[in-house]
Amino acid sequence: MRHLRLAFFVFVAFLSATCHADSLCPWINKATAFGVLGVSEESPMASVSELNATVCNFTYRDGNIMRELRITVEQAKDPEQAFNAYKAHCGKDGNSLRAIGNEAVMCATNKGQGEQVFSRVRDNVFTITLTTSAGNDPTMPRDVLIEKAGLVAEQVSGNLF
Amino acid sequence: MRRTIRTLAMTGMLVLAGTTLLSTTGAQQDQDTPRKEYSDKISSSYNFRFGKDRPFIPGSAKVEGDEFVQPGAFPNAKYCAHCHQEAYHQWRQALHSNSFRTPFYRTSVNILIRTKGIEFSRHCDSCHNPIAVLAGGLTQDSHVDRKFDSDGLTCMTCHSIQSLQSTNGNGGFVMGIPAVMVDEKGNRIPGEVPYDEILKHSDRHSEAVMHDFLRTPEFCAACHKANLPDTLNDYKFVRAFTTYDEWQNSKFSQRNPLTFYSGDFTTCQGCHMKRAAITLPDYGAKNGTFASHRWLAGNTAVPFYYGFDEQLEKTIQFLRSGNFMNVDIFAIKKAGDDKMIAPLGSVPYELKANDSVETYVVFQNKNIGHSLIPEVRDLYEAYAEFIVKDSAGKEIYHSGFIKPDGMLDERAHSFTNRPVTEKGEFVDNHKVWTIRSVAYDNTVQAGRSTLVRYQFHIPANAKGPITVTAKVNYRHLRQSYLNNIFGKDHPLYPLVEIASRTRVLNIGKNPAGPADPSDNPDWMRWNNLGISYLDQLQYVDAVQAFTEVIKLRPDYADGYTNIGLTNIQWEKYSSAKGALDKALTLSPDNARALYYSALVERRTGHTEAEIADLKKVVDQYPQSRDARRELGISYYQQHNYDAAMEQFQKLQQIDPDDLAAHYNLSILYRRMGLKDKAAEQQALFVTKKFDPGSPTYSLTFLRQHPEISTESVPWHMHTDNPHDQKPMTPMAPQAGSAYSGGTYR
Repeated sequence: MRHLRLAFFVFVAFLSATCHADSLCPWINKATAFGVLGVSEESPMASVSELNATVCNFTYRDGNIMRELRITVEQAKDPEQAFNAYKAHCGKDGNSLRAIGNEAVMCATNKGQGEQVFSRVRDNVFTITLTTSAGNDPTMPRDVLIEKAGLVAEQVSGNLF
Repeated sequence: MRRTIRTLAMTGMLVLAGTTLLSTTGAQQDQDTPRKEYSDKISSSYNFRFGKDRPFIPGSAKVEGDEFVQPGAFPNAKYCAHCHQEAYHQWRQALHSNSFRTPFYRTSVNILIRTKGIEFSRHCDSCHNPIAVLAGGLTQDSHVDRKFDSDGLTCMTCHSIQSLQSTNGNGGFVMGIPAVMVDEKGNRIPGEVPYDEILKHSDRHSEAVMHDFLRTPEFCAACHKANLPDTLNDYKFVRAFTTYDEWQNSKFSQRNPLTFYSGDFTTCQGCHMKRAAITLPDYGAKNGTFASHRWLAGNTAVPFYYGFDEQLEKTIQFLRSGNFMNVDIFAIKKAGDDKMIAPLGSVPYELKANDSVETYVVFQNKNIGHSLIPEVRDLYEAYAEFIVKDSAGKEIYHSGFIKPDGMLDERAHSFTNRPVTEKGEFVDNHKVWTIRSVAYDNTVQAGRSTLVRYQFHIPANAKGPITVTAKVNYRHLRQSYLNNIFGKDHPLYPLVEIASRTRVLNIGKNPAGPADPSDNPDWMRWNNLGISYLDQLQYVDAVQAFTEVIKLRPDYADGYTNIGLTNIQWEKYSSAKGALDKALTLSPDNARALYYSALVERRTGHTEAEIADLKKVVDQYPQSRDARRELGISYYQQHNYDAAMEQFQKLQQIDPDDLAAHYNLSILYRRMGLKDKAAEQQALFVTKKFDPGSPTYSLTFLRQHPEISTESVPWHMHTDNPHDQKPMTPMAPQAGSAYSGGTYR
């Protein structure tokens, strides 16, 4: 019984340590991610809706407006092929981004209310999707979306190097 | 939550303060309160691994007020760009603005973060990203918005530094709360200020952001000198790089009497921040010129990666300008004949087909104010290339070529080093915390020369002239590190030829000819050969070379001093004395000759003459480390402890890491009853002194790498043993497929 209790405490301690580690996105910290969405990480309007080994999803919700930053990272067996498959999402509208990872491309998404970045660092292929639900979000016009998506791409690629 | 909202509200007030110039007291108070609240909040989750009172260790950075600073307290570069467009334009492409974000840096620091913990990266980021350090961002559970990362060392990092610590490096500065203006009483006004206020009081703007020390080499030393403290490596103090010391020991500092040549006083800024005509409006310009904020140096990788073509072009121009390096194909020796044919061009000789030829190439670090290549030379590729071609242009011998996979020929003479771990493995990826020894370091210090020997065979059927070319090439960074960063599918990074010299060797007679105006005069060519021999511990040959110098220039006191110096190292003190006496006859107050004479006088027991000579040197060169150290030792041996202590204290002011100062001061302080100070010096000596066990790690590495172990021997020969790799010609910078057509950032 004593051993069981000890094992239980060890398990709980392990779980709490793991939970703590899992509460952090490996490629960008919350303050920076929510800064991109225009809100403090401690705001009640800020939430992390998904966080695991391959996805970090940050959302800001204020009434009808929802802004979202989604980051995915995967290790690809054939990174060039995986990157090209992602890049195809941009089609002809893709704009090559210099100095992000090994290679990167950016294009609009969500009917112009968002920006996507596809990139890779060695064999890690990652995507960034920054969107706003508001048609004319005053804090997220297109040029700001582009700038912020680039900032996130630099943070993520920097942490993947 | 309420506190956070209050913090945000007060930060907002600070921003408002930018639109209305507040009284200093009010502004200061408004700055202090949010700073304290911010600092308290950061402290609650901050990793104080190295102690509550040492939040920035293992780096050396300090901040006024000893609390974390909000990143927003630093006005960003775009704010400054409003009035300083030229500075902004240059800075954006320069290394300082890209000090953190580049893959070349991140690959290395990320390994530190992943293996030891992010708190250890304060060591690197004290210089690479000081805002992140001082804001308390380098902790596991960080609550700092890192949007400033892309600006690296921004305008208001350098221009907010209030004072310098010792020249120990690792971020040896004291940061103030950024202010772009002072009030009428000289008090600093934190935060942004409306532009019209600055323009109305430009003198008060200058007072806030310009300090005299910004123009000194000591300012650069804060980051261009580094060590690896025990808090980082769990081992002991290990010296990392010493660019500031190298400058201080060069002719350009005019602080060292022992340089082989003399030169005009030039600071770091004199070479790396040269004034140039502006192309964009800038209120900081004087007479249409502005001190360069490009800090041109050797890094071609960053502008290549980011597509900063202007910076790349100027960097290559810089590397090829300035007569930095001199390459001298000085001599040949034919197999079976001990006679050196030298200096080539000035003496006649004959060559035959089928001759085996040894070629002596002298590479002189002529006008660089530091070593070739400085700082993290384990990451760079600076190497000698030597090519021999027959009359049809067919290669007979090639050393120092780039292989088809982009890697450098392993047998190339490389001006780099090989740090090793305690297992004798190469410290790849700049994992500096694992460095325990250096297997070899073939850098060429400022003002010195190195002799590289090449042996090749002239084909039996050779009829026409043989062309011999020697070059110094540079690549930032070495190919294997670029492969680690990007994988192998990256474009070839720029290879820059820094200096080159070609000579034609005829089969048959080679008459003497007129000197090439770009070559050093013959006396200097011999002198450089002598310096090379001296550094390679070839004392007989060094004396012979310096003797040739005084034959050509009997009036040249330094020629005799060089013979004296060689004889001292050879422990032939009476021979040294004769040469040094002659030097002093020619130049009675020559500090260099006086210094070496003092060393001979010490050997012969002429203490009074020894001290008198050293005092004369110190009078002429009060910042000479060597003279201060030797004078301290002389006084110590005389039991004049007060005078000895004074010299060692002054030596410590010049170089806070000097081992002799630590050692002797620890003894002297103990004798004077200053136990605490003695213990402190003793501890510093113990951690900084050489680890006698470390060479074994180097030997392990060299045993495992016979292909490069000869590089660790001062005297070695590169031969034309056939290699199985086809050489690839160095290419001009070009964009690779992965980087072409992208948006320039």
